[in-house]
Amino acid sequence: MSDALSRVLFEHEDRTLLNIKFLKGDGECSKKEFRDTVANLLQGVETGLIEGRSEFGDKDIRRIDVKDAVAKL
Amino acid sequence: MRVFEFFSLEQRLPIPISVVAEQVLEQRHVDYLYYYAVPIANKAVAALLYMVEYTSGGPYASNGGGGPLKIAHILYDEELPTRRMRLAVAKELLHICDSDLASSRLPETVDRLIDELLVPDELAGEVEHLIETKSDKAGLLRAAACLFPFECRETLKPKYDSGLVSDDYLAELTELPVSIVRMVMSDLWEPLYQALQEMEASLSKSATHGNASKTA
Repeated sequence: MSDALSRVLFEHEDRTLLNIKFLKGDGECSKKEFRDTVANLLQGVETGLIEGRSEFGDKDIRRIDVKDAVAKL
Repeated sequence: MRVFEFFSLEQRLPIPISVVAEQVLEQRHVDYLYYYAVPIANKAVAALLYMVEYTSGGPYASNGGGGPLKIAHILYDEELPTRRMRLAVAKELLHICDSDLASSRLPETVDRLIDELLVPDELAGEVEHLIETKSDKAGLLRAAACLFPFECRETLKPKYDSGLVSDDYLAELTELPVSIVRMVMSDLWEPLYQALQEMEASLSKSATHGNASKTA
């Protein structure tokens, strides 16, 4: 199958795919729509159209000790 | 030690995604890890991992030494509720550690993976899954095991079983969806957790045998 997803994943000399995994969303779609959606996203990454960040940014969330929480119940 | 086992003794909740990422990167080298919160209008995908080695050209060409760069890109729907987002991103992060055998890197395996993902959940058990798909589906279990550590479950289980602790309270404590909390607190979780450990061990063994036969 040669389509936009195949092209972005496999038809480049400057990069090799090491792994791709998906978590399906709630939307119902055909295989073609799924592949096109993923292809668009990856093209956005490869062209720099969508910009990533290096931190998820939740390191400082307040954490609770579970044993303390249970003791207070 | 696998990442979800590393977190098994953790006693503080919630587990930050950035802490899961640190542990993943301890186990598998990548030069860069990027997160992208993106609009996905048709909701076909909730999240994905796209892991690539760049050899030359493109926006990631230069790493100073001129060698190839391994980059893990994690994309997720910006409209996911926080709890689902955490689970989705953790799942994709953990796939960075997939063995070669469980990685989807060939056109036919990617195509089959997509075919199998599109099978309705109620029929999924009827479809014989490829090992890559099994790994993909087990990803949510691994993520749940990281974000709701086994030791925390053990501490909370007596209060939960006696009705002193609710699903909503645990969802807030873990920052996970209620459905995941219910699964982890159910009596099915222990055999599931064990099956997960066995599956990971079998994948490692297969990878070792595969490497041995390649070098023989």
